[in-house]
Amino acid sequence: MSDPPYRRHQGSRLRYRWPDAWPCYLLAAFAALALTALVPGGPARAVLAVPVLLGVPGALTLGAAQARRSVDATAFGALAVMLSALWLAFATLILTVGKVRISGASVYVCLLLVCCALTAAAQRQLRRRPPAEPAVLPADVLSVPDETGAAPKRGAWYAVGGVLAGTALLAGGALAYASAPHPAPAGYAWLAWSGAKANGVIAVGAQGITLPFEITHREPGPTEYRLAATWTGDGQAHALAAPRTLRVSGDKTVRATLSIPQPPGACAYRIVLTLTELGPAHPRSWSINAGVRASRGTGGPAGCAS
Amino acid sequence: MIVEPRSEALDATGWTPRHAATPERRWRFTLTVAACAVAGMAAIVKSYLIAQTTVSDEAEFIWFWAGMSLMELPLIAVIARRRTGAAARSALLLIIGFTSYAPKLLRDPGAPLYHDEYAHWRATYDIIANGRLFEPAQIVPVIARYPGLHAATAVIVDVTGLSIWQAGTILVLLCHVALLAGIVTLARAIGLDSRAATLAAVAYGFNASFLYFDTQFSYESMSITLVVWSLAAFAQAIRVPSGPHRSAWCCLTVMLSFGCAITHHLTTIELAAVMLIVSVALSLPRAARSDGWRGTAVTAWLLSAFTLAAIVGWITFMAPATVAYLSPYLGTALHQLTQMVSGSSSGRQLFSASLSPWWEHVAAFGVTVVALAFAAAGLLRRRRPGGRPAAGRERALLLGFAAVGLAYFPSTVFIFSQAGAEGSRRSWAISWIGLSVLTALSGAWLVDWASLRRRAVARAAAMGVLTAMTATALVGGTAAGLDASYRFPGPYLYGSDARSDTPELNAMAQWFLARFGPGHRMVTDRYTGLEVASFGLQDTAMPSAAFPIWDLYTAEPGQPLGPPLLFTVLAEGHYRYLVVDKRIATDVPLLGIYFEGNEPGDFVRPDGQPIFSGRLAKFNGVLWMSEIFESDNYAVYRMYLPAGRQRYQVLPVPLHGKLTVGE
Repeated sequence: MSDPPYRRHQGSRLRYRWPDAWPCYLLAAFAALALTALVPGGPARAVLAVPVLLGVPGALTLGAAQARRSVDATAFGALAVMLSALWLAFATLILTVGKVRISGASVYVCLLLVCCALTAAAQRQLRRRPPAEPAVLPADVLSVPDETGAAPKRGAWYAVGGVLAGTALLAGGALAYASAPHPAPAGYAWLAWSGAKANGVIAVGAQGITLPFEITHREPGPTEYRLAATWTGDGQAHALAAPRTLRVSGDKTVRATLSIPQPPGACAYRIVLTLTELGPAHPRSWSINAGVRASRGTGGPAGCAS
Repeated sequence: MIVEPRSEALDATGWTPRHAATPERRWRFTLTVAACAVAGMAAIVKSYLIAQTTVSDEAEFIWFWAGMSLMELPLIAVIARRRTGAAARSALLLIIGFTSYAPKLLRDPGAPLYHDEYAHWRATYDIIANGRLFEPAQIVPVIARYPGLHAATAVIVDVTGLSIWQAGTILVLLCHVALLAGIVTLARAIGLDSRAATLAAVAYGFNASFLYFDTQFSYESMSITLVVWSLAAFAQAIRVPSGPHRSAWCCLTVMLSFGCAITHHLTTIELAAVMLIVSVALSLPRAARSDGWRGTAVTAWLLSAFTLAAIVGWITFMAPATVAYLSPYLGTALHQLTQMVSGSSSGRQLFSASLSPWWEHVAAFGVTVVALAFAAAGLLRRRRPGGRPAAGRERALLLGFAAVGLAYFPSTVFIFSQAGAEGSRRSWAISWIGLSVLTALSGAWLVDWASLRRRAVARAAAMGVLTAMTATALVGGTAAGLDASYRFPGPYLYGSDARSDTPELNAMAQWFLARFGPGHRMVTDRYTGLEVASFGLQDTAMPSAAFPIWDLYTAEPGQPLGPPLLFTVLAEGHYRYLVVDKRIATDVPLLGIYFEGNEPGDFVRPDGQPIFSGRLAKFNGVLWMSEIFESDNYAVYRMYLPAGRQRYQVLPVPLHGKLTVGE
């Protein structure tokens, strides 16, 4: 007479019990890590991937090394995390030795192979009978840690509770701090060239040149500035263009240009742009400079100095 | 194994629970502890909010330590109770592990702030961007050869899509919590019961590096946990019966110590030293003689030899620059100590530039006294009849780790040497592993002794003294570590690694990156370089006596920049940009250095003014440089090297251009 269906069902359940097949379950979980690629990258994917990535390789290592039963739940979890973190580093070393580019996919494949090997070793350890311990152990030999105050199985739940409570407290503190008012960052302004990168003195053709620059004002309110362009020689500034006054509103970048004709002669000219704040008793000032010269300048006015 | 006496035995000595643990009482107790933890976290948040607006205010310290005490002391008290079960203790320790990460998490929740964090951020970025290990590293070049932390972080970033900072924070947080679990496992393997072992982990949390230094995104934060777990596995391999169990723990020791070797140099060297000390203890017949002790000693020596070979091999073949990186510290420290002893140098003045209040300084000295008292009590306790384990592995392990712990006290001498202070402080993370075991032995005993006082006043007084000593260790341990500028947020502080990051600096670095792209070589000071070389993705110069970039800054106006060799190095090294922080001319750095620790020591004049005062405007007159960016505090110059012979117009000539705005 055959077994009733519920007996067969019970039999199949028994064949894949967690204590007998946990390495395979963990391997399946690691293999399923690939599916997390379907989840958008960021905290959501991390919630799914981090426990597997930083838990499974280490747990399997402990299983393969037959050290799982030698420590309590908290130590097992902590050691599994550290060993998993090491496996991540070791995987990158293996890929480096194999001259394979380090990426999410290559590390995943490498770790999957490592996990397969560890699972096989762990399953083998599970199937083996525990080695016969000597009848009387020496007094100073540690057998298995004695859990007092709670059954070992409950120890895992206590550890989970501790992790959840600690995480909740930490996250609560971080959220409270993030949502509290913070002082506004100090404002600033800048003046910078924004055109093509110059490599030395800029050559100016017969049609002249236009040098773009930008003024960025990162302060809450508007500010008035005076913009001046000069060229310097012999320690003196010579006007290059009529100064401009401009008003820049808060948190705004203004683009501007300085157009100059081809300079006379073969000398280079040091041109200077100066931005000065208008209004305050101690106005701030910014300046940038560049060297220009005629692209085919010859002769011209005397007065070059190196 | 030192096992807790069972309750019947305790009753015989007079110890009985004073209150029956009814469910109602237990819930009330649990809720009180939870409320304390929540209130403590709120107080820490409050302290950081106060700190944001002041350079340093005593209120921020008071709120902070009130919060830490509220959060940790009740949990420690519950852990120290006999009635608490082992699993509950583990859970409470996990809560301490997570919550003790709060000060660092709140300090820089969104981006790196500490010096080494910038370096590791960039190293991780380079692995993700290039897909290769061992790329040249910026800021701290030696980290390129120790990829453990940033390789693991890069993988987490690749797999999860988190930012580098988020992935690094998760990894370091888990290492931080696992560190405490490792101390418990180690202490259990040495022979402590679950209560004393958990108290050892609590005591370890009082060391100077625990709250801030070993929670930063840096290779030492990961490696210190690996060290503790290597030692735990090592001790387990010694204590378990020979056969498969011992082989298993030997394998784990090998794996963990090799992982340590690829992660951080100094801690692995210290790990090898600790293992050698323990191996010596396990080879002393007087301490270790028992069944099979010779086999155990051989195992210990083999594991120690492997660890030593791993780090020596890694340094020799993969990271030869480590020797040059580490050796100046030890050599200079010994030299300075010799000078102090001979009286030719006055040594380092402790807390001279500290922003923390006087009572933190007192506590920093007090923690050594408290540790000494607990360690002495632990040693005395071991010598009493019944307190001393019989000769064997347990006694030998205890002896070895006690020796490691007692090394803390002589190491404190180095704190008075300028060069030795850093190394001394870093060694405490290791020596406190042994010290925590010693102090936990006496701590558990003292709690029992105090609770056995018959008179309520005596009992309360004894518990009060123990609580005060614990609070002193909690405050003083951290105060002896990093300065307040690292620990608390606050306004900009010139010359402080952790308070130099400003929106303006960030904007300058991002402007440069957007305009010129990554990988340009540039010259700048230490504090600007942190941002530019990390988020700015540029390659900053590493100044040294052979590459004295400070000479560019120190040259007086009208004098030629030099020396010529510097320009040769700059030109051959393709250094194209100079970034100047204008405050270098007006402010003295909090850390005392403008560029790096190897700079000349005369950059601050006797009148307290920097030597750079009045010497920065010259850059605008240097014809082989052009200023391409200027903000309130930063100027970026493009250098055209080697300097050409271009001649400049000096006499007035007609040249008229036009300014156009907003078109």
